[in-house]
Amino acid sequence: MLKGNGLCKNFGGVAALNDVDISLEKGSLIGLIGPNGAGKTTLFNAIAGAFSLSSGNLEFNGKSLNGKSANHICRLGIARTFQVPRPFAEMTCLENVLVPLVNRSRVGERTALLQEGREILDFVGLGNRDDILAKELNLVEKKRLEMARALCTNPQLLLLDEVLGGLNTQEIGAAVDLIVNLSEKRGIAVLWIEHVMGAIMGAAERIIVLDQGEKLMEGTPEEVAHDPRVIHAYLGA
Amino acid sequence: MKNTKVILACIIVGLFGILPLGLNVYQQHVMIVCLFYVMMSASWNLLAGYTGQVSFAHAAFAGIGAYTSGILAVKAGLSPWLGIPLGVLFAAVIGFGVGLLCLKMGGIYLSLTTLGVSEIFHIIINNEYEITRGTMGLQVPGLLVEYSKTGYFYIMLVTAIVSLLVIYWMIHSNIGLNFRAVQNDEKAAASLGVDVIRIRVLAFTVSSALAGLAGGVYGHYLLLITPEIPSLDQQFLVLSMTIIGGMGSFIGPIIGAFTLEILSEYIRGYGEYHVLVFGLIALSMARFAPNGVVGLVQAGWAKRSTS
Ligand SMILES: Nc1ncnc2c1ncn2[C@@H]1O[C@H](COP(=O)(O)OP(=O)(O)O)[C@@H](O)[C@H]1O
Ligand SMILES: [Mg+2]
Repeated sequence: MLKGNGLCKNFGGVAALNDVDISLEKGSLIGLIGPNGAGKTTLFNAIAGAFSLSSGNLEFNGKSLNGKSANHICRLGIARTFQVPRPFAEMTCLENVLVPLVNRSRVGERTALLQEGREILDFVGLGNRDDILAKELNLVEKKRLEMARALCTNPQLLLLDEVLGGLNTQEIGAAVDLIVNLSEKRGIAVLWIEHVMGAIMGAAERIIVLDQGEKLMEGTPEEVAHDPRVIHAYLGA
Repeated sequence: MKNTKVILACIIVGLFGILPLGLNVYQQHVMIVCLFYVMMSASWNLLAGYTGQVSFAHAAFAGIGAYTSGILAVKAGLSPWLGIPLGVLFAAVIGFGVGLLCLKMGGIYLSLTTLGVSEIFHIIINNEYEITRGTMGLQVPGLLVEYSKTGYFYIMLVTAIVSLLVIYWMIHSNIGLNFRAVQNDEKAAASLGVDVIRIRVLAFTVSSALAGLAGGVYGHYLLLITPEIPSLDQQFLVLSMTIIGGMGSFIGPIIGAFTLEILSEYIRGYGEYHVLVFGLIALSMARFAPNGVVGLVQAGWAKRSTS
């Protein structure tokens, strides 16, 4: 459903993405790993239309994404979370999820949307926080709100940027279950950036490894874990 | 809760309906000016308080409404009843343009750019003396065949109610939700499907149109349209009213407009320092009580109900 060819993005002299190819199937769960500064978030920004590519082509369900605005891409069915959460701070949690709900292509009654919003907040574990201002949430809750909002766009493809950071072992387990559930039960394709290796290696079908803006390799978690290039990239020279 | 609000609003409107009976001519004038500022503050709040675009060109848009209608009346003999809607339309078109111009800007850059727009408007008024009569002011016909303060009061009251209804509807609809999303975080809003460009320009257009309406009606009440209407003094007064009353709330600017206009009538005797005084109060409010009087009252209530 998502196809990217020769993706490049330069910031001044820095090549944050250099000739990256990517291809995702419907309902797949793909991990995206790589050392800090490898260009993972940049790839998300490019797919989600936060900025335009320096060169390369992106396609989603046969439609070109090049030059499309972020809100347009969202409506095509791609949702993303931000590595550093960006809640609507002065709005309640319920209002936060209401924003994507009222901007979906087919909008229903406000009461039905509010109901759906409450259910999704419940689903991510913010069930009792409906009327709390988003700025009052702690980091873990803010990450959950990111996820809830993204789900409210009704995505076919979900881009998750380090959603496990700051969670304890138990919470990680619950979050991983939730993500696996999204791809298996709801058929949502997930592209997932994570630093918590154990979690992502256990859950993802395939892993893409980025290093210094380039795609180092792609394979099953097994293959990736034993690849000398990956070990080298992570451990240094 | 909703019903109480509706009933309360009806009572207030009803009281305003019989208000002129109990007021002398001067007091009626003050009420008319209050209603003008209610429209100005509430429409500025829609833009600045709900989308975070702190425009300094709002008074200029009131000027565009007033001068458009005034010039059409003087030069073409057009009735103000037609001229004012045309002024509103023209203010909306220019507002749309300024909104587009400011799309990539936020914060102080947007404020400075709109300040520039306002200055350009001033230069035009002062230089096109033949058409605008410069600082002398443009004498224009009234809205009523026979001048009547009470008549103007009702015209102003109806206009203000219509403006407030439009604003109330907007901020409680999906549009208002999108306004606030854009104000809170534009990038996040865009990633969730909010058409940020449309929302920002829409706010500018509607807010400018409502300022044009306020200016137009006000100008034809005063019968003399001067650069006072689109002045920076006026702009800062509207800003102070909104901030002191409570930015980002529906009722805040209404309270601020009445309070400050009535206060300034009392202070006026001591010279024209009221804008400065209000500006200083607004500055300290913005720092220490950013939600204005409305925010302070709400906080007080919340405290009382928890303790
Ligand atoms: N908006 C930006 N402007 C300039 N440089 C950027 C920007 N975003 C990312 N970069 C640079 O691009 C490189 C990749 O960053 P990023 O994609 O955030 O890495 P990762 O998410 O893999 O840790 C880094 O060198 C970073 O400094
Ligand atoms: Mg990153």
